[in-house]
Amino acid sequence: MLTDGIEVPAPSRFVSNEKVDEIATRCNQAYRTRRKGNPGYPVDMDRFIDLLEVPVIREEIEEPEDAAFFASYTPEDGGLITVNSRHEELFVSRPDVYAACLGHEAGHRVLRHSEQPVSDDDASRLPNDVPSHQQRLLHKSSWHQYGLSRDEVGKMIERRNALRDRLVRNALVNEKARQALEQMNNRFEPEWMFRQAEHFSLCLRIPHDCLSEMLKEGWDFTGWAAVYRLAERFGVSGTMMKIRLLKLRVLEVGADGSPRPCPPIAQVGLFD
Amino acid sequence: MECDRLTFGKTLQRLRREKDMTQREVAQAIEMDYSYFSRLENDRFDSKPTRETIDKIAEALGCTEDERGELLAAAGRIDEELEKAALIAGEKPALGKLFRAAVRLPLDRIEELADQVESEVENSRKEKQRRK
Repeated sequence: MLTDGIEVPAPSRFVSNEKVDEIATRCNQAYRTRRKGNPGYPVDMDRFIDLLEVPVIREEIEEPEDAAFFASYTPEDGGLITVNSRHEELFVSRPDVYAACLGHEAGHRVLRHSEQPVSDDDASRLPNDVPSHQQRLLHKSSWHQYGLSRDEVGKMIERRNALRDRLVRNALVNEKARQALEQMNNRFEPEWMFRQAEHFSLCLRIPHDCLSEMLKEGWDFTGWAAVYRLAERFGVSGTMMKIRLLKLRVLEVGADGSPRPCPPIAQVGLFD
Repeated sequence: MECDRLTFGKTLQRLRREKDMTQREVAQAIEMDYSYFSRLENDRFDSKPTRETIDKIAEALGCTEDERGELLAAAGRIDEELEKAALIAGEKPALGKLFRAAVRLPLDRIEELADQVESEVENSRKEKQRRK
């Protein structure tokens, strides 16, 4: 399997971004080795998932009103990624969104999120809830990363919050509302799993070593053009590349909203 | 004895991966709905795909005759020659009994038996010729 020889720590909210980055980069390197001659970008996510030996199925995932699930990961029986066929049109028109979804689900798989014991799970879990590893890990919509506009994201969140408020108001007197609310609460992965899976997807598709090598070419980060050109090379959205560069402190955004290169940080040992 | 035969979906998935094709590429090549193909690979249908569908898939994947046979067998669609043999076995109960008994034997024993039968057929043919 692709991940053979890659050490992945027990799943925990305390696994750092650096560790996730390291694991994702190792996965990308294994992908390059298997796909001889591939430079590591853009990552063909369908083939990556095949190398990971996870079956993929496309079928409709039911969505509560005003919520969108792009994909999910079911750990049982060796694991299964379900891609929500309701969004097929979006996936065809925005292959970067599709790839990001698969990257996220691959993150759940590689980071062994299904092995998470119930006791260390989200604090919001109710005592009678079904343990998370027996459910699908539903993909929360990370709209910003997919390059959707602030307005679109705002409206999406607003609609979801309004629905939740409505359900909360009715939950005490209406059984159906209570069930719908529980469904919403139960079926989303805990926040830390979501963040780790998102970070994995980001790092897998923009591997650290490849990016570092490319940055040596010298890029002008005083405007967004360089970010978009880099994004194109890696087959990711401009927003995704921006996030990667910000997280790696290659780039920062000034008060006026325009980018600029980050000043290098002096590496000082803890006990120097 | 535990049956280690793969399902149709698993067989298809293994062959597709070996051929380095994605679900989308195969589905497009045979003009099949992508979702439908993914459900085939995950054994989500009660009935098995038709011989025609299997032939199309095998062609798109560039399967060898053996690989095509694997797909057909996994779908429970034995090849045409065997299908004829099964029909004859249905008409001759003793042959059916032999066939059902042999199925439980390990492969090498079946081959031994087949050699033995072939040799007996050959001997009886020679015997007939000698009598003539």
